[in-house]
Amino acid sequence: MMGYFLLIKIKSGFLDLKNPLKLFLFLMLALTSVLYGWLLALFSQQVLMGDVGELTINLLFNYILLIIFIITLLRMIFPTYKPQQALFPLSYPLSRWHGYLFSVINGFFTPYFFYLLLFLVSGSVFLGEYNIVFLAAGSLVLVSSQLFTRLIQYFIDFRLKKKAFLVLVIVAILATGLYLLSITLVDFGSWPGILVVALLLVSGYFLEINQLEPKKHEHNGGLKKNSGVYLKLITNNPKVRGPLLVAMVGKVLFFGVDIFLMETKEEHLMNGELFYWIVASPLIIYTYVFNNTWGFWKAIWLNIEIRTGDAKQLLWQHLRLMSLPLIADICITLPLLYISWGEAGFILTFYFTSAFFLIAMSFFWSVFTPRQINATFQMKGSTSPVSVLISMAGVLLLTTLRVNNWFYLIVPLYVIFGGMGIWVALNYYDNGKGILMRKLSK
Amino acid sequence: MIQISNLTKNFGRNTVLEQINLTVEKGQVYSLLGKNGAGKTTLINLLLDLLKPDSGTVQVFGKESSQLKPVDKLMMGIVGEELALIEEFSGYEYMIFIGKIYQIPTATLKKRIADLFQYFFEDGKDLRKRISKYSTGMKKKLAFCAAILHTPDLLILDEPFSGLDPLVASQMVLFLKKYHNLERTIFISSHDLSYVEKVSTHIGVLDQTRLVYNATLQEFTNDGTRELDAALLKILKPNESELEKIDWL
Repeated sequence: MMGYFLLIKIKSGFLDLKNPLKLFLFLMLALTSVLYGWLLALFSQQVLMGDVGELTINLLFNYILLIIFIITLLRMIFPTYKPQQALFPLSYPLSRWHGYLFSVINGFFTPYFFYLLLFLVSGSVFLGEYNIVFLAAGSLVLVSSQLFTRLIQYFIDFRLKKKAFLVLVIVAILATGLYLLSITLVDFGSWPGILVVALLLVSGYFLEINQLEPKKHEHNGGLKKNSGVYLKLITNNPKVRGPLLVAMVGKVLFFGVDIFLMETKEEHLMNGELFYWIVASPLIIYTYVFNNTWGFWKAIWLNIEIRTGDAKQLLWQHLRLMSLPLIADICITLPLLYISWGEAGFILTFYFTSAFFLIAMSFFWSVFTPRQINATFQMKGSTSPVSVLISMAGVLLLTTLRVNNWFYLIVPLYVIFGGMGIWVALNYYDNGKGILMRKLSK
Repeated sequence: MIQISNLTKNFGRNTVLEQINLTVEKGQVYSLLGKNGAGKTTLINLLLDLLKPDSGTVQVFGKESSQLKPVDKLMMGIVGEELALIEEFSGYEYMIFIGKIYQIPTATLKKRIADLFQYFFEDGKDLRKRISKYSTGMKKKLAFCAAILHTPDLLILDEPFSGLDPLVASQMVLFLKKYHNLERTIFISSHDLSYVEKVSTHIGVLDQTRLVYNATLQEFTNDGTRELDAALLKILKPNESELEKIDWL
């Protein structure tokens, strides 16, 4: 059964390649992966010859493996949170262990793992004597990271029995053990890697059998004592509450680590480069929720539309809905950014320009690229990929403000673009209305 | 009140409505009947401007439905296929929210909500319950209360009786009879013929994309000599011969 499952997964992957564009993309990305592997091998040779300062081959591999581990982990929440995929619901005539294994294995059948494996294989082929160590360590780090991601998802996606929290103890013991024995990622190529993978796999199964029910079915018993209507629209809506909570907690953790690094090593997380500022901007609450406001609050759109049909009223409701999360984001971000950087002028200009751009464009995206929201966290993403990409690109471009003061000239352009986004959405709402109806009523 | 001319609507290659001509005058209670998938809800969505016609025109209050201003929509009350209930709210909060959209003065709004809840909801506690906890019937009642809160001139109801127990459905029939007058129009799409019969003044039948019947209730039932369901089956002609072919039953 497992063999047949693997066969159809591989077959379906190849069937996709019948499309010439997909085939071209596949070849390009595969070639790029191989090329990166080759470049790594070249760089490793220089390191081995002592041409790259004090960098040792072990340190280099550790960095590479750490990046692989972190990126695999971040895939879960960036650009939007992806819930754990339960391949076979409990109604299937499969044992829990089999169902769990199928889900785990299925998680690896994604282009991401294919290209990373290609990178690891090509790197190890071109590497000299360290090839097997690198391939084995890389593969086991990749697997560990994915299994660790699944563990986190169990806590986010499901209600768990109390004893499930024992897994946290196991993970803590595991991490402490690795630290005390000075086992680094490059050592994952032998027994430590296998042990970690085995422990994570068993821990995942332990969580699998100790789940009570998916959190998406959660409903509160009664009304919460919230005074504000708009607060209630957020806190009483699990599909909104979950992603916003994940976003805010993620942001606090991010800045916490950043401040810790500054205090201990006097360096910023990710060197304070591009990705850092994407997280610092309010982008995440838009890619998670507000680029698709009417997908999350369809009833509000429908009420406004059938009772007034007034696009301005819709814009007003849109702004009111996002006001509380945005205020929370401001309260978290600005003080922490100031503590961490101290450049008040840049921080305020960057934050508020990106916020204006995201606010304005989110009204546009919510009207023209709505998505139906069926679960608290859904696999296909809760906002449209185009809106995510353009929002990210917009915020990334703003980071040029740090490069040269001349780039402050682009700030008015953001105001103009944002204004145009609102204007277009208001004036062409009549067409957008059809899109909303079609997309949200599937 | 409603004027539909040569209306055609396609979804891709699938034609849902074809050359529909229909006029609903002020003071009529017009019931649109038809099989599942006949296009009744599509027609209502076209009336509400939630869908655009491929050809033909849909006019409400003498204007193209796409040209209706917010002030025109304030004269309409709707219970659509989608009840559009904001489930994060309690029933009372939802009614207040809707009242604000319709700009009803607070004192009037509170009185109307109290009256409607008194009539439709036995247990006053239901008011304070979150809508996500309501049963299907309760949701339908709430959507109906929200639709008539501002006493609209045109009331559009898509399957208003489905999901209601016989007692509440009868209450709704009585309410509609009281609500209806020469200035108010009610447009209903429904399968529940026994209730339709009690409120309608006019009947239309949609079948296979076309409006195959359009007349007064008296004509439809042959001045009451024929039951409404018998009259409908005469038009829709169910295919009973296929049932005989299923020999394994």
